[in-house]
Amino acid sequence: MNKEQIQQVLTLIDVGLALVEKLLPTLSSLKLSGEITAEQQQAVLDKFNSLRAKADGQFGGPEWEVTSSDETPVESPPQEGQ
Amino acid sequence: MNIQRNIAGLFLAMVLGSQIGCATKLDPAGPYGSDAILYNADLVITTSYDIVHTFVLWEYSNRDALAAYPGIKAAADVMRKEAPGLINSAMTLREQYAKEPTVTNRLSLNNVLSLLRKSAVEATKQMVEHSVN
Repeated sequence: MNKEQIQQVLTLIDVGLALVEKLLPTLSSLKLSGEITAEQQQAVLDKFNSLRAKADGQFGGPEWEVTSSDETPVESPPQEGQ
Repeated sequence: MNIQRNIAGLFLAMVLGSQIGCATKLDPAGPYGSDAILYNADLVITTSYDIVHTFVLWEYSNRDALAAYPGIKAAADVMRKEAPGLINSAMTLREQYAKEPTVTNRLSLNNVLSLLRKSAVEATKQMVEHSVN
């Protein structure tokens, strides 16, 4: 296994951890076959409100910029609300 | 190993795609009352955003390491262009449904939620299938 492959394995681990962290609350709620409690509902509502409060700010990070292969930022169309 | 990973990715994506937002029974004392559609909509919107954001952030953070797989950046760029509009549309239609829970509004909301689920599934597949080679 060369250095590049090791890097890719580490990348996988990073992604896996990030994904598990993001999905754990959802998967936990899916595991519940019974009623969704008031607390669980409130957690989802709070998360939704938090996302909505950011408006377009949730797409403002550099990771959302479309760039060409030479990393030159490409002007993207305005992201207006519907 | 590739086949196993692809199967694992597809399985995970199918599970996510079919299970995100499938609650059917809510505690009526909660903030959603007994409106499972609204609860599911919020769950799909927030979870899809998390997954797609994780994907584009992963691609951005590992662009050099992933340069050998141009399809990943292409997929990420599609999501960078489409996800903001989809998420904003979903939020708008969610609000419309919350104000007026008509059949028409529900169908419109379900349509955009279906597209969000597909984006989340595609992002998950890309991450799982291409993380190791």
